[in-house]
Amino acid sequence: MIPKLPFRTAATDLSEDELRLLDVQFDAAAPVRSLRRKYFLATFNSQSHDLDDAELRKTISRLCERGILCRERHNGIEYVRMTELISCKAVGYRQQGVDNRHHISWQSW
Amino acid sequence: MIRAVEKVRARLDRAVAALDGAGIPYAVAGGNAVAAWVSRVDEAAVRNTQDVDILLRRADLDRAKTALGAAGFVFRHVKSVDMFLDGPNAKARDSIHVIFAKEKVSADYLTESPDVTDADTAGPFHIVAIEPLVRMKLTSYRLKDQVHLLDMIGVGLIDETWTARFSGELAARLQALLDNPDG
Repeated sequence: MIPKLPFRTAATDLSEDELRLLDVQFDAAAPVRSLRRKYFLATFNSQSHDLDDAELRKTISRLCERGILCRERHNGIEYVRMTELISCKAVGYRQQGVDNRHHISWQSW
Repeated sequence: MIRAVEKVRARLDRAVAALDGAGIPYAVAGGNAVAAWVSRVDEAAVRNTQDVDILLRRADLDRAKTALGAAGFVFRHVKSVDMFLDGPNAKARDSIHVIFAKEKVSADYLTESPDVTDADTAGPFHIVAIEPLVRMKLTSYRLKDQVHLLDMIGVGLIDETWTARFSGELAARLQALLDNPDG
């Protein structure tokens, strides 16, 4: 069990591993390769999750089933990204004139 | 996190303004160059990066120290890396890393860095042109470089025809990514 990062609000049932996967997708879809533990820190300059490759696959599938993530494939590369359902939290900010979809995550997780 | 992203961009803007103002040729390399190229195809696919890498000629380093020093950056040479810290108390990650043009980053690299003239100047700052940028990424080929290459493949900037532009190990690395992008 990895420790929770200090800015968590505990307002969700998502695990710390799941939250770390979501943290790094605040600005763009992520190639699945980049989410592997081996690549994570180097790619995102962010503390990695504690999931091995098999657990990562299962976790992504679970988050997809819950409507939090969705899969995409572009030019042969598999990506996952946060769904509109989740990222719609950014709409309110945009309507207030804050042109930044990066407000998606830390306000609410 | 938003603040961090903005700080990286502000650091980059200040640095290139200082270099432009002093007439020092440069090209932005690394993750910011990848982001700039990706944004031309699909802005939504751009991933922010903390790394600010700038290609300079070694002969211009002293002038760059003066120009960037006037903009608040402090030069340091740490563990064979030349960097400009964003202020005297900044951490190494809050810095601009210097890559020297037409030199190998380390002795085991297969190719040299491009010259600063191998740059695209159409945007707000000069960025390493796409082919030399891909060559740099294939040469360093660290984990983050592999993901940067995937980012460029994902938006169609690179495809299977690109392997013919490189030879030997570099072509093999690109082919490996194209064959098995999900790792």
